[in-house]
Amino acid sequence: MKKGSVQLTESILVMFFVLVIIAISLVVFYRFQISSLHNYEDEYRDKQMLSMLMVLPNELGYSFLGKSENAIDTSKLFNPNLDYGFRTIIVEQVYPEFNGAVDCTIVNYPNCNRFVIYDKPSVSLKNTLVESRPVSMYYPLDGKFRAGKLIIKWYY
Amino acid sequence: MKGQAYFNWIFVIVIGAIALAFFVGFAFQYKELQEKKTEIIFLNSLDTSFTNLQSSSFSTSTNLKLPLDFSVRCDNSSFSIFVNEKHDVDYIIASKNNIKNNLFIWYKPYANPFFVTNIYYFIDTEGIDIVTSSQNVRELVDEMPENFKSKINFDSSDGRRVDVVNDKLIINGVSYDYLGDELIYAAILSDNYPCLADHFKTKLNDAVVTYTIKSNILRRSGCNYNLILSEMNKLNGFDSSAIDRIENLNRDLINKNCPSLY
Repeated sequence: MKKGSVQLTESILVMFFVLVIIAISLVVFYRFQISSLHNYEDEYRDKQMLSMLMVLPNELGYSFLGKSENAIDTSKLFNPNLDYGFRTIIVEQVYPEFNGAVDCTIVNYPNCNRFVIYDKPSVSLKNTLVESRPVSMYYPLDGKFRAGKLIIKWYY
Repeated sequence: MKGQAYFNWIFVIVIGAIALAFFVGFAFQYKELQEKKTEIIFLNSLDTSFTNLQSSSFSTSTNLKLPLDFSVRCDNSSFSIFVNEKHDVDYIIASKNNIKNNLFIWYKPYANPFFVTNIYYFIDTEGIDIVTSSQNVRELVDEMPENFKSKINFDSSDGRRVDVVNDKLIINGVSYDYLGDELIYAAILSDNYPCLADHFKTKLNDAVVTYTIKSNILRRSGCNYNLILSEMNKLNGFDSSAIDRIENLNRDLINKNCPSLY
């Protein structure tokens, strides 16, 4: 009777430890799943950023008689009403090279090389994702194209 | 001896209850996590489809098998896609409120006569019932991509009534202004045309502001852009007769060796 009781206690303890091991495994598995979810979220954010880099030159694009000419029209970069959330969007001329960075305004245009199209940083969002791509920049006053870089900073 | 047996029973019951609570809790948390994961994968595919469609300057369409049903909502601030939670999107979407099974996406850039915005049209396998007596509406449906055209049913009597009468768009008896075929398509496919039209007006107004600023810069070339700008401003009031005049004035500017406005 005493031996049976000891064996029962042993079985209960074994079951208890098995349960603890299973619980720990599940917690570890769940953490892996959460980490995988974060990877998916990062991937989604990256893709949204790349989409924006692809699409933005069309929205700010130079068109001739309504037909898109695959370049950013620099005279269309001064609209103050844009809303892209917590982001900073900059178009910089990289060639021909300019002496120092001169931010463009309607007054000093086209004697400048940096267009801050949109700038809305966030105090609370601590992370920043920065991506850029080369673009062609069109200056309608002299009808010339220059090489530039479109930079997007995304605060999250 | 009896005390030991009691202890065993109490121990088993307490631990069993804790284990059960833990496993049930885990099951719920895991389900939520998986749903979130599926939602992100779906949004990712949707974003890829949007970008791929936009890489063409022509009207294009695609379809997407849905892992989850979702709804499209339109409020004052933006359009949003709602799966388990709200995701705001920067696009104009003409869609039914709820989309199930298979999503068909059709993309049409609105450039009438200058680029204003991209419009995405959604339809699902269930399709849409439309009642119309306008030949114009039927002809426009005929020009839709095949996978859209086949899902628009004119035979039902309880669908949304869409007519075009004397340059007015009439949806279920309510008259709206419109500008271009793109907005008639939106009236056919969208459950919330007034909200869509408001967002479209905002985009149109933004485009007019952009061209006003551009014209201030181009004036330095000695050309006068006042006439074309005044016609562009008429577009804000959905005056479709201004479109031809804008096109002609832009051509006139080019003929005078002035930089074209758009």
